[in-house]
Amino acid sequence: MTIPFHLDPVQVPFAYSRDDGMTDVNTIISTIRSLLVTTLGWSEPTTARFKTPVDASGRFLDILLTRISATNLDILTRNASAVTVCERRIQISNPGSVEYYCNTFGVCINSLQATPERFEAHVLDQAPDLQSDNSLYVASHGYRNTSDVADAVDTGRYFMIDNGAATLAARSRRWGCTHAPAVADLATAVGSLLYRDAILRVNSAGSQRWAGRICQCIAVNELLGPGVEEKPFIDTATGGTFKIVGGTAGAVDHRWAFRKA
Amino acid sequence: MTKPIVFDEGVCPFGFRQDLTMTDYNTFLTNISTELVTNRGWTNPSSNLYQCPADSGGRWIDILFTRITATDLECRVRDQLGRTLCTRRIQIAVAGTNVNYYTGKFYCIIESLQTTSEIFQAMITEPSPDGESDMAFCSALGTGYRTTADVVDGIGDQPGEYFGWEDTAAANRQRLQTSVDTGNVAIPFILVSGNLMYEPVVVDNLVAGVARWIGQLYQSVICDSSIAFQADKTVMIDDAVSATFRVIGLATINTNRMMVRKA
Repeated sequence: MTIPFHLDPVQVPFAYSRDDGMTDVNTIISTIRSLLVTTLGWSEPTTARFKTPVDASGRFLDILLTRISATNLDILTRNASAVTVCERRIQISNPGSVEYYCNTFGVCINSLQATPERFEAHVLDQAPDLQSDNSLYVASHGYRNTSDVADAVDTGRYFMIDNGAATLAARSRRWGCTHAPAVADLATAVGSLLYRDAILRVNSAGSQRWAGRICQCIAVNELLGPGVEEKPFIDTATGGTFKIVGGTAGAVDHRWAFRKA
Repeated sequence: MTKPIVFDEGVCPFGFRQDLTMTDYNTFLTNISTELVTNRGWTNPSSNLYQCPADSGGRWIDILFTRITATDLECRVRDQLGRTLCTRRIQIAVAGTNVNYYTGKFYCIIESLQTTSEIFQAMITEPSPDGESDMAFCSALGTGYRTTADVVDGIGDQPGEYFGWEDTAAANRQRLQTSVDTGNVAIPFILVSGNLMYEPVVVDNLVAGVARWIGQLYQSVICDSSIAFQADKTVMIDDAVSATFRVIGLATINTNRMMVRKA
């Protein structure tokens, strides 16, 4: 087998880190700077605006991190056309812990509140389409809106540019069944766990289409709680360690796990 | 890449046959013997009873075909435990109907090309990542278009609608993993570029009252409903290996239809 592009550490290098005992979101900005710019080759065109490397097809996104208060961080995501995809916020406890799941084409910041508060921004892997086929490849979301209200935060819900307008929608593939009497979660009849791609859909010129996969992220059984680490095979003889992040599983039957090792 | 087991003709040899303008199921009873016994390695324990080879987990199915009339065929499916999963019927027209046979080592799908296709199916699933013996209690499926009273009851005409053994009895349910988003909106099985998507047919069953995945159907894929019934499509099943699948006449569920390997 060949490792799929979106899980390939050569094509999509990744990095994980964690801060504990945080008292100020400035620590997030510092850590993100180190992970993204120093480790993963992102750039920082202006202070606290971080830009992914531009890939061979000219794709990138940028995120602007703004400290609202010591415990409140605002993050604005734009696509390569400088169109705002979303502006969202996450908060930390004081003291608080934050985990960072970063890669060349995306970032997930997971604030370990009692209910985890997560921010994500991703350049999707559009394979088997060419990465240059279309511009609908940026997905982003965060736990709170700019009024600090937690709204519509279940797994698989993202802002993307839907038919020309940034729109929040449930976008991930539902890997369960839609029929009664029960949802088939990501497990087999004998209890083996299954893992699936985090693939998202988008409204392209009025038609719903599958847009691509989140890099270094997989869908896992919803019964596995946040913080659990899973080690699925990503190739015939290659495994990866993925850690389940917060977020309500709700109706989607699964949770996200991001690459840690 | 390595060819997925579910498409590996070394694991599950397959074939396709078409009989034109069939007017009497006696023709079918003759030809299915050739397809299953001669070509796919099934056995014929008694008249019109066919048993597929046991896999490494000891799983197999048998099918008993009974000619009710010249135009009415009854098909009974049992698993290796002798449990009857279903007895269903399909019909051909008096004036004659083309009949397609999709047969494999572990499956048999017969399509009577009436205005609305009448399809009979029987199979065991390819259960990876679990072992074949792991799934032996719950991974045989079957269905057909009509009841034994020849009624079209609408429970055997969609991809994924199968009878399977659910804990204590055979039951029919919709079992297919389809192209749906987390808002339960059916999404066309198409990429932004317009390229069509194909996936193995993944099905579930109830185990201790809970729905769980039991594997994939050999030599079959789901596709977008924009592909016409009976259309043939070339699908990549390995890095440089393609296969031809045909859309069979099962009604669309969400945005998906089912294709079975032809070549």
